[in-house]
Amino acid sequence: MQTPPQTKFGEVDDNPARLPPPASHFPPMSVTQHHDVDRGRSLCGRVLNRLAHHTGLLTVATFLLAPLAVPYSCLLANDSDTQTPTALAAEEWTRVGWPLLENYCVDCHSSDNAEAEVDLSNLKTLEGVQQNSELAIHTISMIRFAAMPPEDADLPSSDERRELADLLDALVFHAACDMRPRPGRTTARRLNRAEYNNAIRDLFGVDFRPADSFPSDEVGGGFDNNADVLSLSTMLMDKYLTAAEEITAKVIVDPESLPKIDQTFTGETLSIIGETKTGGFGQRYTTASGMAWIDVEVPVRGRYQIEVFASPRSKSNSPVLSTMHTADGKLQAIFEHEFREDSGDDDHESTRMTLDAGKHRLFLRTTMVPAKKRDELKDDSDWQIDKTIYQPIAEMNTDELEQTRVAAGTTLKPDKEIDFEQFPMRYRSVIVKGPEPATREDLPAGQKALLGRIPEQRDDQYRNVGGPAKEALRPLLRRAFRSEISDDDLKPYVSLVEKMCERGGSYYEAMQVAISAALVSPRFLFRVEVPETDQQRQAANAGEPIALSSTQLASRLSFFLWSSLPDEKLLEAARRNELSDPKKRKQHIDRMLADQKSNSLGTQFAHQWFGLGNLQSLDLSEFASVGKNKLDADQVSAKVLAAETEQLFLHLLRENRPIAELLTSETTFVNPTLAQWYGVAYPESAASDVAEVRIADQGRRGILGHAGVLLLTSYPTRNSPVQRGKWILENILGTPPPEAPPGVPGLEETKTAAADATLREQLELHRADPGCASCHRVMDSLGFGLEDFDHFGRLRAADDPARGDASGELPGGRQFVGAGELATILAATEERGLAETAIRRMLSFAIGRELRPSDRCFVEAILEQTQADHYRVRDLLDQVLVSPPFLNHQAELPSS
Amino acid sequence: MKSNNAPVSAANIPACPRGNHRLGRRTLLRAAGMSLGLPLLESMTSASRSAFASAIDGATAPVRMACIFVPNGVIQPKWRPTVEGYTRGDDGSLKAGDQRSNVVSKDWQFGPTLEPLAAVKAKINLLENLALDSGRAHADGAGDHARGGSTFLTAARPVKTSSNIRLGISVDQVAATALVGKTTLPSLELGLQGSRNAGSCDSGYSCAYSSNISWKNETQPMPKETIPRLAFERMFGSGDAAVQRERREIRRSILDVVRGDAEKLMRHVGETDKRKLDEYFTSVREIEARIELTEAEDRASLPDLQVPFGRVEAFREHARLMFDLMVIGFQTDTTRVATLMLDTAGGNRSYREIDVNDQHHGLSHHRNNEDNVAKLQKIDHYLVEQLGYFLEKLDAVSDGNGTLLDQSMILYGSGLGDGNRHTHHDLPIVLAGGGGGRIETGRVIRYEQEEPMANLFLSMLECMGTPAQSMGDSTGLLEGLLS
Repeated sequence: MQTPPQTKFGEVDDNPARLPPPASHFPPMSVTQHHDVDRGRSLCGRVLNRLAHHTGLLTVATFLLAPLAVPYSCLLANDSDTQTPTALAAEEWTRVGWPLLENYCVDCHSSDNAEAEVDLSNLKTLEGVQQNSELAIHTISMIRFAAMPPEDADLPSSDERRELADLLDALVFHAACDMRPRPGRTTARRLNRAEYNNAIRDLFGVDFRPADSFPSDEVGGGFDNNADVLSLSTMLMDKYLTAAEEITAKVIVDPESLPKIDQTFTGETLSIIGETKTGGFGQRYTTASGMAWIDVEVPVRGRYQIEVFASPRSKSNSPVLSTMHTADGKLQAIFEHEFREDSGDDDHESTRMTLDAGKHRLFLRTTMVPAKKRDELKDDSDWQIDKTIYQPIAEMNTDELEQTRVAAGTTLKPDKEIDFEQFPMRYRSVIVKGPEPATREDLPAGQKALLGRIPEQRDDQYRNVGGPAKEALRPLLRRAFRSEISDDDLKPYVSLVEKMCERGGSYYEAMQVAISAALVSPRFLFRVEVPETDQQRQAANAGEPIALSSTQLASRLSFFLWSSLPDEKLLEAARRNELSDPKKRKQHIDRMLADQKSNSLGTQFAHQWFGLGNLQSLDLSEFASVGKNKLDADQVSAKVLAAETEQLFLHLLRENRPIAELLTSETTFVNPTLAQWYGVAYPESAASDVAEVRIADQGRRGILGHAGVLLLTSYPTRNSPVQRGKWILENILGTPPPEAPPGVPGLEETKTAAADATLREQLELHRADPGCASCHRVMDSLGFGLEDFDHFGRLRAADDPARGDASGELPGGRQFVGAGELATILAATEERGLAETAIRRMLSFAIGRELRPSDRCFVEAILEQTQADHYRVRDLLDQVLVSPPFLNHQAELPSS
Repeated sequence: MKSNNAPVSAANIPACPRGNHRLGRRTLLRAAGMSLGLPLLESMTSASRSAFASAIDGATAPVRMACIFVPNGVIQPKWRPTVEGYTRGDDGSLKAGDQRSNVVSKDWQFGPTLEPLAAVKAKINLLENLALDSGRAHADGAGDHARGGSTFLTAARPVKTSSNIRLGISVDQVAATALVGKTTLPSLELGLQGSRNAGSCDSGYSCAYSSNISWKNETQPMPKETIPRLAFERMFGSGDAAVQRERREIRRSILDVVRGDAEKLMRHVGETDKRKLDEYFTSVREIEARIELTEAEDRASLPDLQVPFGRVEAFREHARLMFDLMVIGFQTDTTRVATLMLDTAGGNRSYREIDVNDQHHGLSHHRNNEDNVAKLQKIDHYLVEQLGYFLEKLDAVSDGNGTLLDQSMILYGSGLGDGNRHTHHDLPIVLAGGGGGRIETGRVIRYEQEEPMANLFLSMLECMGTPAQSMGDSTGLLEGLLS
């Protein structure tokens, strides 16, 4: 009957109807006492519960329509015949809550005497609480933790504490949720480093990671994709420009800038096999069975043009056939050379051939076979291009061949009166040119797809570049800007290309510049969500939330699930406005989560959720040497350690496991190196980079047994139960302790009882300080649970005295021995807190802003929705994806 | 042959202290407001203001030399002047009565083609019946255009080949080689058409022969610059500076485009987004400001000549920019030797701007068709008009004891006489400028017997202070030219 709207860590949930039962019994209000919850709360709770249990999918549906119809809050479930839940909560506050606050707190925190600049007199009325919800939430947290009042002041009883916190909490909740909570607005969001890197990867198909050299992004609300803190300095803009230029220089290369050859072999450089004579212009004559040959070196694999200037010396039988062979004797081409007058140019024939980079030897064999016989030779096995091997060439003695070269330094002198009977064929020159730009192997792999048609070049100038530039830029800009591109959008980019080419620039270079421009355009660098239709603008003007367009949703989905741009399919779906349709959207979400790109939910989202970035600053060399197997320092990296935790999260997400398995999982995810460190066998059948292995036998369970987590919550030389406790409170239970009051001495400065005091004894002493006691009771009891592990995250030996500390009792009489039991107890009793933490983090990451008090309404709704199935991770994600703040926004309009 | 061309007496070369002349040039040019279309102010030109003006008196101011090539010969009857007291034979010969001899006259009138030079008539010489024997076919057969171009400044015989080119040093390079170190650039090679230095362009002659008039030695043509901006960079900016300049230009156009995108976005966003986009605008503005600052610094180190980036398409604008560059190059003593090919030998450009849509080379084989002849003459006239622009510009700059034109030798002409018949004698040659006082101007000089062009080269080299013993088929100094 009596259901509080939510359960906070350390709070009693005594609703027998809710599944799963028992919620936590935890300090500081650990002494449970069933008491009458005020009527307002109970009423609202009932309504919420009813909605969750009886209307099921309907609740989801109402989320979609959130801006238009509101009944996801208690407000419209106003089946009370007297008062709204808000009014009831306000009444209870005035009757019971405020007097307590006034009694214990306002003495020091009034408008006259606002210690620590906190003035609680503002919280007297509903309106005051509404206007100061941040202060109210802070106050609740201080009361719950018993951080305030200080121990030397007049202290409330535990019951009073609990009641005061609950009443204020209920008021805050109703004040926000009963008034049609807004989806909130997200500021124009700059791509962060990861998003930039991924966007470049997805645009060009190459993982350049240019953003690794950008300055770190600021973190807001725990994530570095927070729109409000992502700023753009001139220095960063400079980096964007440089990166854009470097990227485009890598993905587009002007073939003109690459080595090519245009080499003429004539006279001395055209070698002849057999007897020979020299003509007036260096032509070389051969006998009827002679050959000419050349050695040519080509810079790169590609298709080359081979031109041969030659002619028979007699009109009869002209034209005649000659054949071209490679050094293996293979027939490569057949030429037909016509007779030419003695003084004239020789007949020009040419062929194209793909050559590998390096040296090639080509032979031109005189046959004197009349070309008219060619038809007869069609099926002759001696005349099959690409098949026939001419043995004399294949078996040619290299030394003898070398003899036929004209010795260096020798100049051929023209012979007079050449006997054309004996020398019926002459070769004027052989020219090898190339490679043809499109065929060369040293162009960037994606260049062809990126540029498509290349405009023609006349008189050293590219002509009519507008068409090809448009064709290439439109799809690129569409993906980079994540929306359809109008001609108007495209125009400045195309003009840029035209302008550069008009003044004689290279088309390739011009395209580099145009694409560079796209990569520093605000439309690429910023995600800006503005109303797209007049209707939406009107709604925005009226202060109404607006459903995001399909195009805007495409970006929200891809940046949430991929930390990158939408792909073609998503853009296409957006173009057809399919993403407003929940069913079709769901299909895309399934597809996106199946894509490897969604690993970013591990490497970005989970990584930041659990603060794994802090591993980056640690010196891991000692860590590497202390595992079950000694490793080299360079084998272990922050990435390897972080990956374990990221992979566990991805596993729970993809398998849709209950969130509590984060704490209880008996398997973990390691790469071969980490497996060695842990001393577990790496399965042979597993992929090379990650395998799921059983770790429970090692005394580890879930995330609290991850070496990385244990390491990053320790000091380099010793354990820190405090840090570990704080980490659990923050990241698992979602109840970060208040900051230590100013002037509190650290552990080191606390007076030590004895030189050989254990850590626990020292901490007990530290806690004796009234300023520290309350918070530390919470933190330390959690942190000590992990004393099984030393500051490297190694499992301590069974006889290590510190193991003795790793047991204890959580409030509510929950006893445990060792980290494994602690994890199990937390999973069983703090499931909802963990789920709420997960939802809050997901939502914050998905919409790129810190959650505000009113967002709690949406979080509660998701909790209700997923509770029955034990808060499965994929369910949580799906619910976040249909929550009003994800699907809607509140737009600001231009002020003018 | 090479060695014969080499001897140069350093003692004869006019002194030009280098010192901080670059700064002087900068000061001068900025002060003079030298930019396209702006008249130079007489009182501020180099002689009176340059840093080296004080160090050298007028008598020792350097002599400059420019050679300008036009392809396809000319319509000779329209080119030739009328000379008082003489009658013209059909072959161009001048006769006084029945007497034929060398003619030197200061009493003459322009033919229609050369009329654009009227303003500088007193400062030019028309040299008639110079010949390039090396251009003639002899045993090499076809290829007169290639030979006409390649012999124009070398008077050497090109080896007929499409690959292993061999010619001889050109007159400008003889001078340039001797002047190395005196100026930033020993010489400047300009052209309006790109070179094809590979393959064959005219009847088996390598394209190098048709595309280059300036040859550093037997086998090495001097590549010419066709993009004015690049020539400008070469004269006044180091390679790196030019690359940086180009990069700045590119960045500026990128920022232009994206600022447009940002402005469009700004029209749709509310206050909060505006603040974010303002960061964007601010950074764009700051980068632009930095570019501008660097540019201003860079500009301050350059002459104030507005030379557009990239290729210039229109012939007239292109040609005049090239002439401007030569003027500024001489004026600032960045170089003393320049060559310009208004077109490649056998050039096939259409001059649509003067309503000649046919191609030049095609037209030149006019077979006395009146229409074609008229069109050709129009082209000849048009090209001379550009020369007039150059000469007048030179004449507007004070230098030494007179003007830059007085200090220079400007050789203008073609390697062919009659384009229709591919003749290599009686070439159309203008030699403008006083050569620093060594050349009396305002004359028509016609040699009764054809005189080797190479003799003109020797005379010019003599005048440059970089004398040579012989060049090509030279037989000695050109009679009556130098005083």
